[in-house]
Formats: sequence, structure tokens, C-alpha cells
Amino acid sequence: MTEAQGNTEADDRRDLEACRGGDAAALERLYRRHAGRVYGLALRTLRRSDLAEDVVQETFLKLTKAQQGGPATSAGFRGESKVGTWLCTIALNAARMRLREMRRGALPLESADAVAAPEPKAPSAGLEAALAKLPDETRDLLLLAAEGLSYEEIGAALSLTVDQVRGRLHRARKDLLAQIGAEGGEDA
Amino acid sequence: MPSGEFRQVSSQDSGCEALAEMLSAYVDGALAETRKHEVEAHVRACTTCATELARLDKLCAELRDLVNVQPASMLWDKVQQAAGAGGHEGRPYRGAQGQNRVLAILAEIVLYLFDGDLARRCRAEGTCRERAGSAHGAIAIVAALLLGLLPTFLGVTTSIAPIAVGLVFLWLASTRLEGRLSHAGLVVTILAGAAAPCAWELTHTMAGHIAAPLALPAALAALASAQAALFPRLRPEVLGRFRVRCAARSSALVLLAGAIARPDLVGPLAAVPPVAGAVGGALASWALARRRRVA
Repeated sequence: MTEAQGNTEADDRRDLEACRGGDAAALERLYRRHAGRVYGLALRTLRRSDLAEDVVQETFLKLTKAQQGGPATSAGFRGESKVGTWLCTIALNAARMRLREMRRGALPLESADAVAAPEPKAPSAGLEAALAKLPDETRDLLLLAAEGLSYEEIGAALSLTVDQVRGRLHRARKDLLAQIGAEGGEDA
Repeated sequence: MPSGEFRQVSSQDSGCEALAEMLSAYVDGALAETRKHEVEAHVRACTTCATELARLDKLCAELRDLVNVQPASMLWDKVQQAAGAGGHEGRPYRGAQGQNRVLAILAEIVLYLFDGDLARRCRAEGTCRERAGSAHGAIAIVAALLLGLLPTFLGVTTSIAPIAVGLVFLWLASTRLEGRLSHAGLVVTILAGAAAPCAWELTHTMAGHIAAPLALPAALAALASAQAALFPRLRPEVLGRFRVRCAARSSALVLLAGAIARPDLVGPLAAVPPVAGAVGGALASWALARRRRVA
């Protein structure tokens, strides 16, 4: 979790409340604080920038709608988790849906510029490739942990117990390190 | 293992085994204070676990870097637009996708071919020289259109690309058609051809859905006026009819392309801009034709 994120929960809730009154500036503040992590999560899941952008749009639209609809809506924020966690959960579900569509062939192969470009930092390239080879659930687990979600929050997002999260996360990291090592990316 | 419990850690091998899972939780800051101290004490005494912890730390830091990516700055504009427009049932706004994109492009080509009416009018009303020019002009329109669409297929999303292609084509065509159609005539026909893909690009944004049906008829009405200057034998009433039909057809073209691309965005209100464009074009044509008759 970044320093900025650490100090924003109170701001997030305040801005979420302001969104209820149609405050566009509050929506923008929320976007500025969380779009990066939502986009990153979607990008690493889908590996396509165009679809990741769709996920960001859908996530923040749902936020707006949830606020407009109030707590009665199914997608509404109930205050049981952090705002950032809630957004990550929405983004993850949206990304999974697109991943399924992509595998079914419902989403066409996009142009080259829409495919996520490798990070300029070389070390990430091997990690990203290794991450892509992991099973979906394992990758989701790792990405949510990297987003700074607690085990309880990850468990709530993935319907797992805290013990399951802890155990699977341990195995996932082990697998990932082995994968990177096998591909000669250990030095990266 | 009982829920939430770890085995007692020691600095021996069995302790390393038990510690493996705890190391991961330690990196995440998910251990109770007592467990945390146990891990720290063990790691100080065990180089294997210290190395493993360093690897995990590095991996987690890299994963954090990986997920912390800033999206393009224009994405906020899209979010804002979509939120302002009510979000369209929670679906994000984007241009046409897959089959829809191809269908929309085909619709544009078919409808634009009907706008070869420009050439037919010239053939009916013009001189022999103009007839030859108009036939080549029609070919130029289609060729420029197809070339202009190429960047769309290649995934180049800027609307500058079709214009650039149009200009290259202009240079090529002018060397071939010189003497049959004036350079200005070629500019008109090729820009008209390039206008459709540009309008298509515009429809990739929410504002484009509103702007394109208005902008294209206006542009084509201006082009028709230029044609009038190039083909002075065209009768004003023919030119007027052409301009009206041109405006109406191009409005329908853009609307249809948009509707095929994103059917969820086209509601009753979407019909307003094309109708307004067509009426505006008709009024402008009538006024121009009247002025020419008076002159």
C-alpha cells in the first residue's frame, strides 16, 4: 500500500458521500486515488490496455450508480471494507468477466497498440510473463495481495477463508518464484 | 493445521518448514506480534530462511510495482463523459468492437458508394471533359475511402491518419488524372473520401456521436459548393437537391454507423442532430440556390 493510499480511507468515505450528492469533483478525487490500482489490476489480469480501460470505466460507473442508487443496490458500498478494496473487487469481477468473454472468443483480438506494452523496467517483463501462466485464481490472489488488501478482504473478494488465503498465497508465491527461476528470470 | 495457527518455530530444519508459510504472511504484515518476533528471531539465526525472506520481499515489491500502473490521462475524460451520460447501464463507453466495427465500416462503404451521386450528377449535367473527370472522381472517392479505412483496420486510432493517406493518394492520383479533373476537383473528392473515416473516428467518443452527424453534412455541403465552382454548368436546383440529399444521406450514414457500432448509445435523442443537420443543409441549399437564381 502506498503512502497516499494509507491516509485516504477517511477521504475516500467523505468523497463517496459527496458523490451521493452528485459532486463530480469528489468522483474525480476518488478516480485519481484509485484508478491506478484498478487499472493495474485489470491490466495484469487481461493483458490488454483497451479492455483494462473498459474495466476502469465500468468500475467507476458502478461506483456512481451505487451512490445514486443508495445502499439498497446490490453493488452498493456497505462500509464493511475499505473503499479501495470494494473498487478492487468490482474491478476484479469485471476483469474476470472479460477474461471469460475473451476465452470464449466473444471479444476479438485487438490491434497491437491495445495489447499491454511491456513495462519499461526489464525485471517486470519476466514476472509479468510468469504471472500470466498461473491459474486465474492464483493470479487474482497475488494481485489482490499486491494491492495491499488484507487477508480478510482477499477472502471476502474470492470467497475464501483467511487460512485458505494464507496457505494459497504462500503456494502461489512459491510457484511464481519457481516459474521465474525456470525461465531464467531469477536475476531480474 | 488448526485455523489461524502455526507450528512453533525453531532454528532447526523442521522450524524452517513450518516457517515457510509464515514468511509469506510476515511479508504481508499479517502476523500477530508474537509470531512476528518468532519469525524475526528465526531469520536472524537461519541464512536459508533469511534468503527466502529476501526473495519474497523482492517478489512482493515487484508485484506491487506491476499493479501500480497509471492509465492514460484521457481515460478520466471517458469516465466523466460516461458518468455524465448516465453510464449506459453500467457499460463503459468505447468505440465499436469486433464484428460491429467491421459491420459499421461496411455500412459506411455501402452508403458512401451511394454518394457517387455526385459523380452521376456531374455526368448528366457536365461536359465531356467533366464526364471523364467525374468517373475518375468516383473512383478516387472509393479508393480514398478504402485507403482511409486502412488505418482503422490496422488499429491506428488517430483521425489524422485517413487525411494523411488521402493526401498521399491525392499526390498519386493527380499525376494520373491531370487534364481530366482539376487538382481542386481531386482535393474535393479525396477529402470527401477521407471525411467518412474521420467521422467514423469521431464516433469513437461520446462527443463524436453528437458532433459527427452535424459536422459531416456541414463539411459535405461546403464540398458541394466547391463542386459548384468546379462544375459551373450544374444547374442551381440540381446542386440544391444534391446538397440536401448529401446532407441527409451523410447524417443517416453516421447515425447508422454509430448505431451498428454501439446500439446501446442510440436512443430517440440521437435522431435530433442528423435531422437538424439535414434541415440546416436544406435551408442553406435553398438560400444558395435562390441567390444564384437572382444573380
